Amino acid sequence: MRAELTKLRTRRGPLLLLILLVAVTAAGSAMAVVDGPDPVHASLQGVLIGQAVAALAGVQLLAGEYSTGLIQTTWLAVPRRLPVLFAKSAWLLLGVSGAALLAVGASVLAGRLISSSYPALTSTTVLRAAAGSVLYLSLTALFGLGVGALLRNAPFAAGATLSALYVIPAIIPFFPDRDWQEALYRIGPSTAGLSIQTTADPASLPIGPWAGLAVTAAWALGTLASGGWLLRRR
Amino acid sequence: MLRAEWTKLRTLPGSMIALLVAITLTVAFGLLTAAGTHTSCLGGPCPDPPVGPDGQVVTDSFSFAHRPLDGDGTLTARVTSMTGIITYPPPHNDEIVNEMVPWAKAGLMIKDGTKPGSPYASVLLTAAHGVRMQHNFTGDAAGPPGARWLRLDRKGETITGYASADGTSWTKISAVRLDGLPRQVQIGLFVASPSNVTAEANGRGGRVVKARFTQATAVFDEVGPGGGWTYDGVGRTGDGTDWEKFHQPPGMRESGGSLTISGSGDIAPAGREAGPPLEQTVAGLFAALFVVIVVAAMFITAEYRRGLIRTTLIATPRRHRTVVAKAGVMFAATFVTGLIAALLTLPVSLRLLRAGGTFIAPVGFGVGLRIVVGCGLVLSLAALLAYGMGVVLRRGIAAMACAVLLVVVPHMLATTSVVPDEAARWLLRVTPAAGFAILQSIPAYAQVQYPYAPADGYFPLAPWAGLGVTALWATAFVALGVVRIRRGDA
Repeated sequence: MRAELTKLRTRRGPLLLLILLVAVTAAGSAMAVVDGPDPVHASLQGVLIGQAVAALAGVQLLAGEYSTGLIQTTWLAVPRRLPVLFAKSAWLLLGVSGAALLAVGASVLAGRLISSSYPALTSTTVLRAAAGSVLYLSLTALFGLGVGALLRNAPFAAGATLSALYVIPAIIPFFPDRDWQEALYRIGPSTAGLSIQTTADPASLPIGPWAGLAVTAAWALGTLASGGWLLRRR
Repeated sequence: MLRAEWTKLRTLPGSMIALLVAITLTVAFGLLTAAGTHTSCLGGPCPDPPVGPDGQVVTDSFSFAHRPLDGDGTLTARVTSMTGIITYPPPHNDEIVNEMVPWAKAGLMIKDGTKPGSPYASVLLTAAHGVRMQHNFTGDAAGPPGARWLRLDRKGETITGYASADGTSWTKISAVRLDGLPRQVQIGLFVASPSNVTAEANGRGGRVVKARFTQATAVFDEVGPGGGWTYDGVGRTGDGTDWEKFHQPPGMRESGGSLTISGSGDIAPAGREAGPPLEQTVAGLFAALFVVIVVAAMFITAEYRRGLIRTTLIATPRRHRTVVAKAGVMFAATFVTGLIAALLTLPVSLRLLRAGGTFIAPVGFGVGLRIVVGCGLVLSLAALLAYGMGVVLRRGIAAMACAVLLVVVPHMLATTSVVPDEAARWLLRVTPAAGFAILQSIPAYAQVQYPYAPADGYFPLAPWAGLGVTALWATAFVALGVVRIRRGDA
């Protein structure tokens, strides 16, 4: 646990990634704010960009060590795989959720300041959307870590994670069948998870807000568990 | 040197497989969605929308008081009044108002018969865009301001439109040639009034486009030569709206020297409302994009990781040439990948869609070629950008992340999120995502009032201009990479 923290602390990369996460999320959100039907949702659009950074932070943490060869030192120091994975997950969760809290807080504040139809910050819908977004970003980071553990190659893992997050929403509109569209929406880690942000008429979505976030959690935990299992085997 | 780099790409683990995967993803997506699409209307297959003389889908429905014209001739008339109604417009959507939509039209027309889609030329008064001369659905020229008198003159295949404020001094608007116009044509007076169309964003990032019925009524006098009119509702289907049944049916009324015509519809190029656009079949390119970005980022950064770059640079000490050669190989390989993917997907998807009863708006050969080549260029420029990033950053993961953030994310924000339209347009003007404009098959038209938006696939930049933006970004990163490699040590 301590060793993992030292590795994170002594390099500039992880901190830069977290700062980047806050910056792009807040900037993206501020750009999107509008007095539309769902100003809360609009003010959280930066999460769409921030998720890439969060996922990469996860990928970098384990798969990145495979790129530099540092992983061999890590395994020599702590031969048991799972404690390392747990330690990494814990620090990742802590770091990303901290950054996400700042990013989402800034986004919501920007929305409140710019949009006149914004609901009160303490209303349950705003709180749900904001807390959900923080959770979502943390889960995406874990997802990245899990995919990294599965593929053990940083660029491949990054490609796989980002395409899972971005390709599905991009191709959904082109599916002819409504059922297919809704099924994909429910399965996609980003589409399902981000339904937590909708405050106007969430019942119209193919999946409920918390159920959607659970889908993202399932992706994150599923890849982590299978990645951990594979790490032990190899 | 190119040869050496090609060998490296060929033998880079997984790169050839990855490019094959990119092709497979695109083709599989195109064929799957095409095979799953079935379109039908009440009572069988849907009738095809009319197609104009230049091969594009058009809207062609209006009220037409006409008579045959053999050979050359002239028609003159004055529009004394033009009024209209819009049913239940926003913001309250609760009453019928006495207003006209900006492109409500009343004027004179020469048309090759009354079949929708047939060639025509017209000079007309609009509600908010003054006098125009329009022909064959896409041609549109502005006339002098303040004119109420209109004149159309035919000589052979050439039709000239004039307008005047007082009926004595005439201004020529333009002369157009309608190729293959037969000796006998229909000449007459017409009125059209397009639907009042608005789009509202829904909370999910999609848009709901609503069209409301409108009608325009114009009174013409001083019609010369007059008489002998037959009325036709060109392109009219169905029983009509309640307004037409209970208040004002479309048609023509002659009283004294004047002619009153009421009508709805439009005479204009159609957009995506006629059917899905061609580029929809290659939407799988998005998945391919990720694959290509990973391969391109790895192509250079893998060398750094393994130290192969030192060998490469020793073999060719003039470093910038290595960087450029690698860029060339990457560009060519990914361009061919996109090209093959498009050539495999398009013909089969189109056939499958047609078999399923779906009408895909036809495009000319030039546009089709641009889209096929565009598939290659979109992939190769994204690859070039990721590669340039790789040279600059020397880290595969950082390079591919930046490429995704610059190319894919802005496009997604602009087309499938709840980002406001104006912000979306800016994203598609300045980021490398602008290049996707090369795939747009149906342009936005100035003479159609439609809420064109990126979410519907209408890009703010022209196809090649958009691609130019992406090309600039890609070149800039490769150039940065050249600078970086000449300065730094490997």
